[in-house]
Amino acid sequence: MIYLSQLLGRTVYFQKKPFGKIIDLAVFTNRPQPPISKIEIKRDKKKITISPHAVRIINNHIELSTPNIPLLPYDHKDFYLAEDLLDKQVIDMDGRRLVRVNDVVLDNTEELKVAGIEIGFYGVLHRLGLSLIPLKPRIIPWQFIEAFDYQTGNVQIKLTQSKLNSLHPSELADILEDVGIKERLGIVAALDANKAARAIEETDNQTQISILEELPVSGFKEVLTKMHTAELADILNYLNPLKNQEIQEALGVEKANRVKKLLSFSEDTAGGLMHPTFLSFDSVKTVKETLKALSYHDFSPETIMVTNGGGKLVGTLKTKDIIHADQLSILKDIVKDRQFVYPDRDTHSIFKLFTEYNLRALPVVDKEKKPVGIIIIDDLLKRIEEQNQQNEAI
Amino acid sequence: MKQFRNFFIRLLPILAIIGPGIISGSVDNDAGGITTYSVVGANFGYTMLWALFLTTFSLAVTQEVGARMGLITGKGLASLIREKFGIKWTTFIMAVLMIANLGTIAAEFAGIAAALDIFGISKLISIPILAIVIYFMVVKGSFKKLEKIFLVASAFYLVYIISAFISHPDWGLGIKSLVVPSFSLNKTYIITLIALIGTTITPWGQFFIQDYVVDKKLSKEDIQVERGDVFFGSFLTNFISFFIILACAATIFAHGKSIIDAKDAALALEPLAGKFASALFAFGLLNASIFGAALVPVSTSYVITEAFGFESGLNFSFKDAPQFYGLFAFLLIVGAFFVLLPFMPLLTILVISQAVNAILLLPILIFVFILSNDKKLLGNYANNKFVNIILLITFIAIAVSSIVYFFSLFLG
Repeated sequence: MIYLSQLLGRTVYFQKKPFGKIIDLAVFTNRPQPPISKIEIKRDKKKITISPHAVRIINNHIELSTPNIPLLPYDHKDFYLAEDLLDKQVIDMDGRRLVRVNDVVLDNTEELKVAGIEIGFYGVLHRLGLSLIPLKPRIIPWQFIEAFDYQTGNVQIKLTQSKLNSLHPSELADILEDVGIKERLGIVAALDANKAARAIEETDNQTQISILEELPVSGFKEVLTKMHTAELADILNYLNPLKNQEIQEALGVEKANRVKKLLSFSEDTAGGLMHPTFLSFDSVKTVKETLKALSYHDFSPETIMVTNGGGKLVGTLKTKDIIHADQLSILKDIVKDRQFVYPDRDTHSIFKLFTEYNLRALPVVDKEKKPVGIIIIDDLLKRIEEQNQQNEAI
Repeated sequence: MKQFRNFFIRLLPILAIIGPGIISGSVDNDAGGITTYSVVGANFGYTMLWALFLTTFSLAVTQEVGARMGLITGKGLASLIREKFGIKWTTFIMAVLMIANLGTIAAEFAGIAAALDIFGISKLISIPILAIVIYFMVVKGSFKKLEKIFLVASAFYLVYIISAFISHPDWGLGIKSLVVPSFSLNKTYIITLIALIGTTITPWGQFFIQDYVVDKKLSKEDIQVERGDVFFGSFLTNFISFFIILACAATIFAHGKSIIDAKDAALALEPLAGKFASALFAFGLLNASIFGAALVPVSTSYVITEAFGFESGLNFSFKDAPQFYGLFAFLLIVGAFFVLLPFMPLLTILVISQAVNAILLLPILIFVFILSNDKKLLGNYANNKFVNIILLITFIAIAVSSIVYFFSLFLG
């Protein structure tokens, strides 16, 4: 085992004469333990890139093994250990957080390859030449990290698919809030559209604004369309008007119209809180029919709306109550919750309704009592958190 | 899991809603600031106003550069230095920052000691007690709640504006002195001049502004607003400083007195407050000092531990972030300890620490200069010529006055 910092700046000898100094190592990132693909050497003020097979490391002595060195082309797309990894932040997939790379651990048993990174105080002291205190290195194996390209901020995709997708949206959100701007976009780009949309929704308002402001709309249409209308409407208000319009265009007419409708409501009203997506069923349907219809939808809400023949709201039903109900009873006979609000109802009185009636969801209806959206308890919790943050700040 | 995020906004929630203008205005005029400006006016009259005028531009530009780097990269200054220059340079800069900030922390405690001394409380009692109070105030989170009170109380500076008007300063000379430079080779003059620069543009402030912008998740879109905010903040800071100097010049200096002990600075408020001048001054100084004594050590610990990749921030328990809490306690203890040394007059600590800050700003400015000119990092947002010229002039001015000072020491 050898540390990258022990190799950088070291002289490479050829037939006992100094040949040049190692300045960086490139790796094949798509292997579980990526082998070194190129060695960048500074020779007579010029940088040359050679194959690692031309170099032997024997007992702290680095020597060129062949006089005819195969020169390799420098490619800025390569992943370089000093340029892209050392001293940078990477995602620790095991701890689900950002860590800083204090050193890179190399394995030189057979061929030179990356084993992992060091993130502890040990690495700091070691690199400063102060390894006086016996400390244990804190090493994370390469398989458990996701690194960025320093120039572009792109995530180094290992193997076929980014492991970032295995993280929970809220864990991703925490990471998104902490990284630099380029890296933030790199992470979004590395995620599946759906995961990216959920992760963005989980970040705080300021991070959401920053991401949507910087995101090139053309490349991320899918992420934008996967985001919830209510969330988008919350963010769009804060964006540059041109960007706002560009995003609305990318969303397609139908979704853009729903967003626009929500944008017209004030944030502190039922209209600003509600989700425009919901399922409603005719009140004369039987439980059996309803369950069957529900099973066809990939959208499975906790609460459904029940409407009469004219499309007017009768009440709401929890899906779990429908499951336990008599298969042959009709919906209007089992509806219990009949509360509703109009879009201009203020958030404060909505809080009261939820606590008073122990609601999980509350329909929002227009003047004709036709449902236009639904407020879910999660939205209220989120709003309370936002208000708490604001109150702290005043 | 939310380790790094929003450290400053969580520490100072007010940052979430108001611009850095008022914050930097009141934080910049801390214990070292009030005292240095007082000494400048009381002991040298109007003769250093030109330097104050020029530092306004330096302050505006250095703050703008910091804010811009934060906006474009989304990373703090320590992070950028670490990623571009590696761990050795980072360690060097962190050492520089720590020494500068230790000086600032010592100055804050000297401010506490001087203020409570006016009420007859010995520093042997006030300093240990307040060091402990501040530690727990920050660690237990009550600082966040008290922050508004501190900021409201910093409206105290307005009394200097009133006092300056009441004491009938020589307005003509005051305005003229802003633009017509004068210089003296007297070594006290030079060190006070360096302190004047050092209390206005600080290493601490350079890291703070960038972290602030990063915490607030501002992006390119906000650059114009942020620029305006930073320029306004710089103007406001020095606008207040101008009146502190003017009030002292029109009272203490005009009466042929000078500031020998920190509490003498209270005389500037006599035209306004009469016999309550001392109490009013003590109140303002105490408020500014406690605020600074809490904020500077905690943000220093944050920047340093983050640069080395340790768990950093008040959301961690002591067990999970021993380096962060350890460093915070260390900075408080060492800062307080300086003030307790019997041979260290409070005034010396208050003014010299500011001069040390100016000198230690030099290496930091070099890194700021290189990074802010890095096109790979900032693209089209790298420095323009105008910014570079101001940065260079600032650097040269501090460097030359420091060299002249060291020569004047040897030449007597």
